[in-house]
Amino acid sequence: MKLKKVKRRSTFSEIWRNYRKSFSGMLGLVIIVGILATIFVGNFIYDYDTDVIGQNVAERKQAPSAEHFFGTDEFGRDILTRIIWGGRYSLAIGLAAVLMSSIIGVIFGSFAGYYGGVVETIIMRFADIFQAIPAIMLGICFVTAFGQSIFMLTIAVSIGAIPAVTRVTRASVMTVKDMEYVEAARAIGANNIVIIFRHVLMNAISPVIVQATLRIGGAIVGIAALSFIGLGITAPTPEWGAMLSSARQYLRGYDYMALYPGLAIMVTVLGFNLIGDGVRDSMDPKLKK
Amino acid sequence: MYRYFLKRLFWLIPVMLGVSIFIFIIMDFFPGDAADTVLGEAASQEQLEAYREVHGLNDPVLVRYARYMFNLLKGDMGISYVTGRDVFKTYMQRLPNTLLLAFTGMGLAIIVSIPIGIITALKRGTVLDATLMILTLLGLSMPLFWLGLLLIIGFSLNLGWFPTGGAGSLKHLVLPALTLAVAKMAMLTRTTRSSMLEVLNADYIRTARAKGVSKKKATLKHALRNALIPIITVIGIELGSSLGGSVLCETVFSWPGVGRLIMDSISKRDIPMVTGCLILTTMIVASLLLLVDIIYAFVDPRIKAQYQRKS
Amino acid sequence: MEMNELVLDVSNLIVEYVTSEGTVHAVNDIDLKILPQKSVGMVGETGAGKTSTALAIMNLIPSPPGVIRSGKIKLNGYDVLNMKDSELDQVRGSEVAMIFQDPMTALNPVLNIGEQIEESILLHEKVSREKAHEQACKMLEMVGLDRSRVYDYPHQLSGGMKQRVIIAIALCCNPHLLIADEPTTALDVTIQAQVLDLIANLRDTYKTAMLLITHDLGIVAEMCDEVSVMYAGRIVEHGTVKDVFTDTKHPYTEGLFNSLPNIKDRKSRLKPIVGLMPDPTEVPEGCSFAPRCSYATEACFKRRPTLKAFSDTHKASCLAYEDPAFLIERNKHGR
Repeated sequence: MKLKKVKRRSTFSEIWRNYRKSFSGMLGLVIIVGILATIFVGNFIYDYDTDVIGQNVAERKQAPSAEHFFGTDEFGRDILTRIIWGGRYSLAIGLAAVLMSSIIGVIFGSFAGYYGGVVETIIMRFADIFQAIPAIMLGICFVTAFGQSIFMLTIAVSIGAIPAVTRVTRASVMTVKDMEYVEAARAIGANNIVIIFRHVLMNAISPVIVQATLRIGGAIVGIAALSFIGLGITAPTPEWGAMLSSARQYLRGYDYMALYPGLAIMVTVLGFNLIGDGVRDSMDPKLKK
Repeated sequence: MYRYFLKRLFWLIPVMLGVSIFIFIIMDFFPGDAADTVLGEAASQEQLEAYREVHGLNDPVLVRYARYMFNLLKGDMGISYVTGRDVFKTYMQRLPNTLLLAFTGMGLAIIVSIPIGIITALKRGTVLDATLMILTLLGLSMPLFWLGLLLIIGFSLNLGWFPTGGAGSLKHLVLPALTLAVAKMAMLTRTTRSSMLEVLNADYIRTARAKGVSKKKATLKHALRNALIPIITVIGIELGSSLGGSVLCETVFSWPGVGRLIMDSISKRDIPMVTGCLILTTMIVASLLLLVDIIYAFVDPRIKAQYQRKS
Repeated sequence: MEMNELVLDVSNLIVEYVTSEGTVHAVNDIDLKILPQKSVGMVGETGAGKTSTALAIMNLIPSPPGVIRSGKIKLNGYDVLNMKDSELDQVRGSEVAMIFQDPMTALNPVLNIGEQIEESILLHEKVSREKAHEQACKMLEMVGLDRSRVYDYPHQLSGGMKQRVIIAIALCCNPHLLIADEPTTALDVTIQAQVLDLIANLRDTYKTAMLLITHDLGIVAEMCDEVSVMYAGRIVEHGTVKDVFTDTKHPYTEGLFNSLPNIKDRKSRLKPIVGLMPDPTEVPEGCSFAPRCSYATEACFKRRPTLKAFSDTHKASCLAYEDPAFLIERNKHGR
């Protein structure tokens, strides 16, 4: 029996259609696109040496005003400028860290779930070991041991999540491997390995993707946290966490210095959380809030 | 049941072994060693080398590791390079502070979150529900250390109700515990809500109502008991992460706990202290998670039976 | 209670579900009457509105999004739709009890089965805990389970056993009406017969009236005195089992009989009813079955038929019978 070739909508456009229906998803998208655009534009408006780290003793510690929307810090630098410039670090490292942990976790988890046996045991034991050590401490160890380069910081932020991703992927792969629709696909003659692979992977991956989008917020807070305790990006670079750290000395009387960088973190994380909600709602129709 | 408990305990041992190996190896990459710290910057190369020879710092990794583990089993985790005091004792002195903070914060969070989570699940779709969902979302998005700073600004500096840091009295505990609690509250409320929603839709709730069980009783007796099961797991995990992540809260509030101890030790290159703290903290967190697993097994008869049958 | 007083008297029941995708018209104005100790079967395809009817009788329609638009339900004299929840809680379980379709999920996983039976007893009878426990054990034996299982948890029981527990819970307070919503659909065929026997025996022992919801005509023939055939939220035919089986009136009922495989005629193809039930969010003008009916005329699409009595016990709603000579195929060959 010949099957008519039906025009298929790609899964992506399907997902995007669902995503558009989610209010929180669209709101989050607006926020994040707004933030990215601001950072992008800021890159061309501001000059690093003069605007971002250049000190201006005359204008030190000024409260928010028309000239300086967020005020100036202890070195006279405009806080708004620094926040806009500083966003790139949190976002870049945060996103890179989630990407890294997702890829590594999926690779290990797929191997563990698909092959089972010794491979699985070894991988899962390693996952146990790395999961037993609290994530922040792992990060702190890595940074102290291997330095505070951007690459190391990315690893430090991502490392805490890798065991969890591995676990979830493994569980997913194991479930999907045996699912009936894989057998059904084979039964109707879909002996094309790619189709089966695609069925398995598409379904195993979806919880990982959903979780990954929800982890971006945590990663951004993670790099800010490391900077806050001095082990991340350090002054004078205007990373948001580092800015909060320097603001600690000036809480009395100059509380705006601590208010705005933190607000920036919160709004960014909020945006990503909303996107995460939107992705979850659009990818998993079974999960109704 | 005891079989299950023992099985999990036996699993814990190789994991801790792996953890200790990992920590030990990574400590090797830490800048500086005992000689540098103890003899200080003024020491000459010969003095440093001599020190290293005498104290076996040049021995291969495995030998040093074996030596360390052997001592560990005797209960000896070495002495601090900086203070000269026993690592284990120092840690144990600080541990209660961290535990106090973590448990108080978690306790507050539980008291507030679970009732609110239940209520929003029951009143799903109403304005109250929507408001709380927004509030919890904001709470989840707020970095803990920022919240701490805000609370200090508000309640300590502006209102003068509480000290800005340190420990020693109940007043000192309020702000740090509140900071921790708020972060956990957001997560816990959401978890409670979604767990309740899932359970409230279950068939057995309908059966209960068909039997004549009142709505209130069906919610509290039938639904909640089932909903609590996954919530317990989440509480355990969050508690574990509070203990491990106490660094941030303790730094903000200068709280003399284990997290601050680790940070201080790292900045002073006090390697035995850092090693000891990491291993002990990991052990405590792992044991806590094991405890949660066991409680979980007790509360959910399906899991209990699974392990009873296996034995 | 007098012998003639109805155990269940439903009139003009309309149930809808208001969703974002439209209003689902689940039950469209039905009447149902059950006399004491009689068993009425309710037959129809999935989605015909049977479960909604059952839930409405106990006023357990999930309230967003379900709405009982109109109707009067009298259960043993209790005006179900106008009672407060707290009053209804007394009625549920004691006057009327329900057995649900899926035994696997109908029991609370964290309570043992003894507790779940006892709960029902303690709710409706003033007895001590020990007495309730003893009664629970007795109920277990009545449904064919060993009383030593009283402390078992649901997951330790098979599907059939779970269903027996559910039957025990339903009957432990001796209700006047038992509603069984597809009680054996989710069970193995071999277990089905056992469970049906059990239900039939207990019903006779307790002298309970029964509303048996099913899509299986065979079960109806075995267990029921009367049959209501439901289609798209309406009752299209109602009568005694003899009426409906031997003197079928409605084309849909005929279609149901025809779609049963005939063991004597193994060569011919199965004859399903063509098409699907109409979209419940749209209520057509005329007869809901017209698009699938082989006897349909133009009038059928425009005018909705009402139930017409063919005898004291038998009625059906089909415009074709306005022609008194009309006979459906099944009756033409004098079966």
